[in-house]
Amino acid sequence: MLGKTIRVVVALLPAGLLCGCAADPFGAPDLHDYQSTIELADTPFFPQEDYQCGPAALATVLVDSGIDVDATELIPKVYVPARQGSLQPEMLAASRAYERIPYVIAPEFAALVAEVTAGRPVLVLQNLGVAAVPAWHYAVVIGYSAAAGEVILRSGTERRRVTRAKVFARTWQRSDNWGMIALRPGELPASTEPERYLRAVAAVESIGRFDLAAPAYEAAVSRWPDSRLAYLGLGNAAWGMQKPADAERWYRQALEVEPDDGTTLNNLAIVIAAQGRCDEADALMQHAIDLTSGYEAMREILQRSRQEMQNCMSQ
Amino acid sequence: MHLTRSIQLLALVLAASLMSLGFAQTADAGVISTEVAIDLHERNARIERINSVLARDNVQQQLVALGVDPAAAQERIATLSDGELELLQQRMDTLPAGADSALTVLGIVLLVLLVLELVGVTDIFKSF
Repeated sequence: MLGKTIRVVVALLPAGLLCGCAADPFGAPDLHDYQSTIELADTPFFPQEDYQCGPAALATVLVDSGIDVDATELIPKVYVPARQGSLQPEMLAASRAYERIPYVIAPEFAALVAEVTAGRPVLVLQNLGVAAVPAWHYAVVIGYSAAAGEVILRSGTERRRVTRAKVFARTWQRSDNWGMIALRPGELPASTEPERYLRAVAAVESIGRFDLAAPAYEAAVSRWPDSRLAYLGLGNAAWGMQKPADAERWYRQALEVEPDDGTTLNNLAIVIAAQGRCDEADALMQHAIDLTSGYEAMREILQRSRQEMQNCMSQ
Repeated sequence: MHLTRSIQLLALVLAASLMSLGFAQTADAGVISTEVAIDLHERNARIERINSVLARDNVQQQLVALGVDPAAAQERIATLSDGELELLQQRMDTLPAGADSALTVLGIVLLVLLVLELVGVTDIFKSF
């Protein structure tokens, strides 16, 4: 069995070496695009013990974002004994448990550099081995040197691991360039993609932490005042905190951006019904159903909502 | 006789799952979450969302089976989003588990050995 694996690896290796000769084969970053050198030297460090680079890397970014935690405390929260490691969704979930908004960066080197430049260390998943003999590893990128073509990490037992950018790019590429940062509620990433950020906040909303989601949506509204989804999120957070009048106000803002949006109309009708204005709510829902006639998925949701709203009338 | 029992059992299971579906919908009270709204915005929404109650149970059981303390597993699933629950439910065994130094060393040592093997320095693999 081992012999077979090794033969596979031996067969693949020359191909890998050949690729190494081609220009920029792995999308390796050209650090000359970036300015000088950055190193977030104050980033904390938790030397990893056996199998526990997940808790260690997570502690690094959480402490950096102001949470009082250490790697040992995180072991029962992210370590999976039989897998002898930690899974990406659980790294995100554990960050939420510590009242941070885990944000998965865009899968590209530029996004990683943007966050580090903004002062945020980035937790990355690497495969230090090869596909046939994987060695999955979490580390934290804390800087780079453009002149030297190097990436600087907190990694395993090494407080300051310096890796050639090209080698880093290859190990990172094998995880599809997965990287996350831990944002304080209200803190925005360097990214310019509203939907990627709103997805991160929506996950916090979905676990019922409306108190954390609300300031995060507020930040989104101030950066992207034309984002219908950001206003909708604010409305949903208000509704979640049992503030229907506030929710109504935010949904109406969302409608100003996109007057015909079925989702917003649905939610608005429901919060209006919750305030006892049944006729108004029903008319609004009917209006929404008429508008979305060409979009079956939306229409079905709206019709279901309308049925549920019948209670409003009978009360 | 046997068939009747099976049908009774099936009816029970169906009734139970219908009840849990009903609960999920009423609990939701019809407000579309931002997570679903983003899906709808991208026009890839499924009307039937995963039953997050069942998914949570399933993921929790899988975690416990993989050696996680039951109480800890319960806390861990509480902060997973629906999308993450679904991913874990389907791919718990195949998702990469970012891990340890021992494996890393094994990988690196192996690669070194392979390179040495290729350039004819070692002859170790024939012995396998």
